[in-house]
Amino acid sequence: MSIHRAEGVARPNGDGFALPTVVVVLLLLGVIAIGTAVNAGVDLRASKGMPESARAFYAAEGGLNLMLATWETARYDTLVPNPGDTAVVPWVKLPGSAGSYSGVLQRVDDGSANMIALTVEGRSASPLWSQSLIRVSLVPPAQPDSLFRWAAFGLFYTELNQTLAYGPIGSNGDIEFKSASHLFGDATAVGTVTDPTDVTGTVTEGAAPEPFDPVACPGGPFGPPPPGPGVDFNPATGELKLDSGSDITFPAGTYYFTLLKQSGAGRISIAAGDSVRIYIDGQLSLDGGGVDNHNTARALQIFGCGADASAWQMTGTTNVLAVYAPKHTVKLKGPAAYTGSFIGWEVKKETAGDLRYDPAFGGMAGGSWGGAKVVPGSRTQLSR
Amino acid sequence: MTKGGDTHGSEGGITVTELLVYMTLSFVVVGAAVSLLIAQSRHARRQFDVTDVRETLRSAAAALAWEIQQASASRGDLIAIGSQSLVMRSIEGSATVCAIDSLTNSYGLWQPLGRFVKNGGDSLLVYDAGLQQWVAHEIVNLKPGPGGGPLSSCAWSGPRAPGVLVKVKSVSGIPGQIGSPVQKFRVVEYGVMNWSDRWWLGRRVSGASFEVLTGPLATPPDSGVVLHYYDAAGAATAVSTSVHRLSLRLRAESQDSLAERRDSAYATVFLRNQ
Repeated sequence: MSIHRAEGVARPNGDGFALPTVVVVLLLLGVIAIGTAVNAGVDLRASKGMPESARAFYAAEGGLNLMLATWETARYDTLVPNPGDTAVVPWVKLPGSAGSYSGVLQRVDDGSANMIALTVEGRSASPLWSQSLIRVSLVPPAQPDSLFRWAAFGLFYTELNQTLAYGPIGSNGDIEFKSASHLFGDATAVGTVTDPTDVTGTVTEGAAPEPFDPVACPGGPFGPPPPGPGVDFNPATGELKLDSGSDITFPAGTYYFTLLKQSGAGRISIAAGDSVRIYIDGQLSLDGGGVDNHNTARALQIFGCGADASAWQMTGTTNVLAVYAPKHTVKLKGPAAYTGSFIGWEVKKETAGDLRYDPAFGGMAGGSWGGAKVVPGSRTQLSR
Repeated sequence: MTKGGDTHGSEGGITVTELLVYMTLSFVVVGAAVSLLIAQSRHARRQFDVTDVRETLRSAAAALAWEIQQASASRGDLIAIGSQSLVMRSIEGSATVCAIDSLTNSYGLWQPLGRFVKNGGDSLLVYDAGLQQWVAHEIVNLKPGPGGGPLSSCAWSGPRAPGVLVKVKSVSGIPGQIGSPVQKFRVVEYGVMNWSDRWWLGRRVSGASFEVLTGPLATPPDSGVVLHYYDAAGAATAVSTSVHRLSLRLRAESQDSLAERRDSAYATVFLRNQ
């Protein structure tokens, strides 16, 4: 039996429909595959956007933290000394694939204060890099005081006994730590440091000597005496004795005596915001209630002037002040703590009680003592 | 039997057998392709759901973390803290005061970063170095600089003009000095909201209606957002000004409620502005 081919379904040239069908199907599949690949690529790039953005943010945050941590040594504020000045910290690559950061500093105050706007930009390391910005306002550390850059400095010898000290200690001779004393700060001596293991900080022996010039006494008469009860002042000899249970307030200004002796329970007081300088060509003995100057060492600065080289001593209960007496042995006694800066021919912290440098002088090395202070709440982060 | 008048020669055509074979093969091929496409579609749908849930978690965590990171609890940026909602100041922009017009209670701002456009409920935080604190004022007007008089140029030397001028509402003078940092903010509430019978992370600005940020989230009581607040000592706190860090627990589900794809994420965010 044979089957006739139906009329009208003839195959011209013997071709079937399978080949065109396969070609069309393949074309459709190809289009679908290309579309899928394109979509996958878009999705891949989009999914990478979020981690790249996070990397950029952390690069900016890391850069900001690095700049703040190294501010004291890098002194970025010196790049913008005048109001309106702008400086750019070039791009710094962070380790590995952590990205990079750059900073822009601008001194934004009008000269009446000291304010810097710091904008740190972070970038991810990927070619699909993203950017993030963090801005803070900060107050740079005070310029280091030319004299009071040390918690204690003895031109001949520095000794800490039963003392925990915080800040830089130095000597143009030797430094000695006695009876469980320990220093959290740097020890720098032209001679030796005994014992370096008592120091949490950098120990430098054989350092170059620090120049500390003698101080000339003010011209003119002695005094003036501060007002108040128990004040015994001899204008002829320049001796001032404070023997009172009351506080004696020194008005802002400069004073000149040949003796300043405080006894009794009263304290030497300085009004808030005032600054007092006392020059002494003779002996200093503060054995009373100490100093009340609102915990600002800069507010009371005592200078040893002239040729006298007698020993000075303090035993008050609160002692926040600065002493510069390059010819005198300065003995810091009593169980009380001492805060400020103490420069003498010899400086001996003789009994228990902390010795702390006042960072307001701006000379502290290491740590964040001398770093820039970020205005609380000023941190703003932006992405783009 | 002869083919009546037909000559086969080159004449084409298909036999019933060929037709059956073609059809059978076509059914097999098409059937296999369709089943493959269906399986692929299901797989793609599952993958889409998983991705959808993860994207929801990521975006929710990122949005909340970004806001919280730059808040200052001690300054009062966290206005109301709850386990499922948070009302806070949302910082939109940052700049520096470079000119002041005390007569009009206006500032000229240098290098504004972020969004310095007028919206409803805008306020300005100004740091006063003398008071050593931030002072908030409602923004009355905000426009591009420079302005006239003392707002025509910045206080520093050289031809520099304020980029933005902001007038604030004040009856007793305005705080701040040249160089004071300023931040533009709006009060924003983040919380779980219901929309189209699903739960979402929502946000409303200055007391307006909630708008959807991302989602959907798990349905309460299996809530999609749970917030815990801790102070500097690591203890849980309900005092907004004591918040030091915040933990987020997020639970999201896929858009396709039938698939019920779910996932969760935890994050801890430290407030950078203490």
